[in-house]
Amino acid sequence: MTQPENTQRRTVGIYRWLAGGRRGFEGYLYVLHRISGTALLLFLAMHVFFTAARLLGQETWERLMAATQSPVLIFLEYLVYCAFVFHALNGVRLILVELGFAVGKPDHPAYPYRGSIHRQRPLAIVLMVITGLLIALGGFELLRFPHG
Amino acid sequence: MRETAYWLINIACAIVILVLLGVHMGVMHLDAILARLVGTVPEPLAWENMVNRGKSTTQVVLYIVLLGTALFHGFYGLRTMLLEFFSSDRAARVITAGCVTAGGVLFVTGTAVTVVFALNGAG
Repeated sequence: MTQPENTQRRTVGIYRWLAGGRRGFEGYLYVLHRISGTALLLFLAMHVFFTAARLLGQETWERLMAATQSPVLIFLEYLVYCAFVFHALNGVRLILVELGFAVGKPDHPAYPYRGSIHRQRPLAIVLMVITGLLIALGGFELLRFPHG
Repeated sequence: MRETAYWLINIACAIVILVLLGVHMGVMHLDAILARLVGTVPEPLAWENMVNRGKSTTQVVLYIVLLGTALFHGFYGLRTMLLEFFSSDRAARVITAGCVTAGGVLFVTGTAVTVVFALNGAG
């Protein structure tokens, strides 16, 4: 079967990055997934080069590790942790939906129409609640609140 | 067809990363919480513990697997985003080549450091 010629622009521009659109909650998760993914990739690139300092010996390593204990870097480490937790759990949602879980069974298109996005929403909410709990738990550890 | 294969590899990488990075985060960054659950855990950033980890064959293999899967997943995602902005065939070739090169440089660097450290220790 021949495909109709696509006359629309294929690029979507910056608007799709910043707005949830008709998908609402999941639309904003999509935006955050991209922002957190880009941040994690940048961190990974830095991480590869910084941890290479172990080749320079114990003294260099210990000096570098001591430098990571500054409040600013501890906070940035926490942001990396938050990005990881969000990206991981939202990614679990995306894989489940990709494989056809939690999207409901096919139904007759009777009015009022119910979109698949509404059937997926409980999964998104449950995973984001878990994300919030893990981010709070990590905050107690990573932001060095007094441990018991 | 090739893009479908990339997509499937990307999903497979995501699952591997979820497990390995989950363990990495737990051990390296949430050690105080881990200590509450399992008793005492070694200080992850201390030089001696880092050397012991770096010399373990299992750890070296897992580090390289995590590095490779994370780089593929990361640069595949970055490429997808960039292709939404620049979709001409020429731009697509440049973006793909850039992502492969950057990912390759990081993979070779990370792997070389890990293997050299495992074999020789600090220089």
